[in-house]
Order: sequence, then C-alpha cells, then structure tokens
Amino acid sequence: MCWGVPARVVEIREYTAIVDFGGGSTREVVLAANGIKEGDLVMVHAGAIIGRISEEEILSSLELYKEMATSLADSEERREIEEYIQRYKQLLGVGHK
Amino acid sequence: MAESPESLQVLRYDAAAASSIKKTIWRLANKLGSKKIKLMNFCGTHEWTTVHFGLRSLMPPNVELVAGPGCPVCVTPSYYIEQAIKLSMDGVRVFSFGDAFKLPSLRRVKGARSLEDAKALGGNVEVVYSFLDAVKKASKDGKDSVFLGIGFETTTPSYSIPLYGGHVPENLYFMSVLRLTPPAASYAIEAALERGVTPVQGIIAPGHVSTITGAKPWDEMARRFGIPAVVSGFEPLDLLMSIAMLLKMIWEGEARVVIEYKRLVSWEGNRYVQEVNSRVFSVEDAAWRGLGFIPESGLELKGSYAAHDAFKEFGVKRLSAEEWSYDLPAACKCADITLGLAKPTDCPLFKRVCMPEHPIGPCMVSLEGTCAVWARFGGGGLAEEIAKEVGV
Ligand code: SF4
Repeated sequence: MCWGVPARVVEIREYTAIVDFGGGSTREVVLAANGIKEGDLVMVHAGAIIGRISEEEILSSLELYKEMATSLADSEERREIEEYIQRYKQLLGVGHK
Repeated sequence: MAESPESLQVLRYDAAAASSIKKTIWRLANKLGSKKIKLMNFCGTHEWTTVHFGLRSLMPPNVELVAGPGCPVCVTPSYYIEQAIKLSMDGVRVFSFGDAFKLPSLRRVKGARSLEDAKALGGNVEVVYSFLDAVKKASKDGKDSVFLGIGFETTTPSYSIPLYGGHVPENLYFMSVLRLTPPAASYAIEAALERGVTPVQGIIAPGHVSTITGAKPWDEMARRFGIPAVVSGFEPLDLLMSIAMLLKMIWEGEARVVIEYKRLVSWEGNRYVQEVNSRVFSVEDAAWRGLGFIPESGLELKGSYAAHDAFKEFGVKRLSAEEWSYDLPAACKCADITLGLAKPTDCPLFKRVCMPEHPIGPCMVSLEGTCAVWARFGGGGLAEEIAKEVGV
C-alpha cells in the first residue's frame, strides 16, 4: 500500500486524474499536487498523485554527488565519475523538453 | 517500484556508476576508522531496495544499515484491527487495503484473527486499491461502510482531498489510524540512546513521506540529535549516493539535511496537501503497535469532517494511553525491529513458524514490513547473489 509508482498523466478531471502506469494500464487517482498537467511524469502513492517527478533534477542530484566524490577520488576514478555523469546527461537530453 | 522512464532506469542498472559510488563509500568508511557507523532508514521501500539489491553486502565492515519504523501496517494497534473485524462481523461493510486485510490481530474476535478470517467467516469485508474506489462504491450503492484508514503522511492526501472537497458520501465513515513518521523516528533514536546500544549516526530519510512534509522536519531532527540526514530516492544508486553523502557529513561533523531525491522532494514539501490536511485532521498522541503512545504522532478527523468519523458513528472507543497494553504475540520481535534494535533473524519464529503466507506478527504482512522483506529476499546474508543484479 505504501508503494510509490511513477505514471504519466493522461487526463485531468475535477479532483482526480487518469494516469498511465505503462503498458496501457490506466487508473483514476486523486490529484494531490498543484500545477500537474497532462503528460507530466508523476509519483502515485496509495491512489493519489503526491508530486511531479522532475527528470532534470536527477542531474542535479548527480552533480551534488559528483562534487563530493571527485574531491575524494584518485584520477582514474575521477574519470569514471565524469563518464557516468556524462552518460546521464546524454540520456536526459534524449527526448527531454 | 519500477520507475519506467529510461532516465530513471539508469539509477537502477548502471553497474559502473554503482561500483564507483561503492568505492567512495569504502574510502569514506576508511577515514572513519573501525568504529561502527549505524545508518537508519525510515521507509519500508528503502529496506526493500537495500535487501533486494543486496546493498548490505556492498557496505564496508564498519557500516551497518538498519531499518526503522517504516511500515504503517506494522504499527497499527491490534485493538483497531479487532474493532474493524467486529464491525464487519456485525454487517457493516469494511473497506481495507490488501495488506491490512491480512494483518493479524492479537485477540480473536468472533473466531477471526484478521479481516481475511472475518471475510471467510461471513464478515462484510472488501479489499480496495484506494480510498477513491471506496468513495465510488459507497456513493453508488448507499451502503453504510467504514474505511480502515491506515497510512503515513504519503497516504493522507488520498483521504483528505476527497473529504475536503465534499466528495465522500454520508454513508462512508473513516476510521483514522493515520500515523506520522518524524515523531516515530525521534522515538526510535531516543530508544537506542536510552538502551545504550550503538546510537544511530545517520538518517536515511523517507523520500515519499518527505514529498509531503518537505525536508524541513528531518533538518530539525538532524540538528536536535546532532546527526546528519539525507532524503533519499528509492533506486539502488539513490541509496548508495545517500549513504556516501551521510558518511561524508559524519566525517566532517555536520548535522544537517541534504536532499538527494531532488526529482520529487523540496525543502517545504507539498504545501497544498499540508494545507488540506491541517483543515481535515488534528494531530493527536497516538498508539503504535508494540511501542505504546508517541506524542503528537497520529491524525484524527476534526471539525465538520468528524461527521465521517467511524469512531463516533459506531460508538467505537479510541484507545487511551491508560488502556493500551502490549499488543504483539509472545516472542514476536516487531517492536525492537521497528526501532532498529533487532533484526528479523533475531526472532525465533522468523521463517520457522512466521512466514509471508502465514504471518504471526505484523512485520511479516506488508511488502514494506522488515520481516516480510527479509523472508522474501533473503536478508543481508544472501544479498551477494542479488547484488549481481546491479553488477557490483
Ligand atoms: S518473524 Fe514474525 S513473529 Fe518474528 S518479529 Fe517478524 S513478524 Fe514478529
């Protein structure tokens, strides 16, 4: 019951929204966050949208980590960290508004 | 649990990244010497990720990951389950989530030890996916019904928003057993201090609870106890990064909160839900199963919303601190497990008599219950195997 599941918003209604969990599995859930729009990626918890997932913020978490990790790492690891952060950047760039 | 978009998938399957973060964790742990570092999570889903992806086996020998009070089903007092069973046996339709349906009570009521039993014995019980489903059914058929309202902060809006908007029909009553996470987290940390066991040195704060509350309460707690906290996401890389961040703060002697789960959590949280909740619910002292009363840790309907209060409508008394008595089966260690003072394997019943298919205590029921997670995925010991899934 306490499981968060991401979904795309398909339709906004009065106090609910229709979301798609992927694979065509849709459900009506309570709209429990402001400013949610159709097409948004959201987190659904116990039948309510509790917030919008901001994909661009994944990068800021990684940057936060990178800053910390590189200050501790040796040169080879620094390269590794750079590499995977780069991979994320590319990934987030793909199909990202 | 599965976060479908590709951008989120990498947080699960990027083996090179996981191995790099693991190195940072080991490096930091080395700096901290041989002293045991205990990091506590407060969310059943964090425990699930920890066990499922074998994160314990990736930890340096001096870093211990422990589970705290992270499962609302586990801490629902037996008394309220018994009252729900009784109502269902009296013919009132009781709506329940699937995991609460299987939750065993301490005492039998008319032969039933759970809502599942009650249904088999002719009780009126219906499992629903959400409160909204119950609202729709009750609106349609007009039958007197009770919703067993279990949950932490994350579940509150699914109840408060329909109530606040006037969408809940008169015939649907709400039995609030809602509980708040930060007071229980403080209680768990204090319990460890009182018992003189290794104190918790870092908090892995619950990502989805914090979506509602914001990071603020965890910052207050971090400063109060002088220990750092990281609000973490639920993918393995989220948790590994959060652990690294905690170790860094411990090493530097910092006691504040950092948000790792920025894609969903802000400092202030979901203001809309906070506002609606404050109109619909009042904060009260409340009982936690096996633990007793924790101050200001529960929610009850207030004002005009009390017209939907199942306790009032059906004359069910609320538990008082004086009346509460220890409500776990003999030998069940759920209370200590909830406080991070014991592991499921410390319980003599674990996987011998108490199993997910046949739970004796409440931590074996829900997928967020620590015993259920360990029983299903092998706990810390077999984690090496599962670690291969993330390629580390
Ligand atoms: S194994 Fe069962 S009886 Fe033992 S602590 Fe866990 S839930 Fe309680």
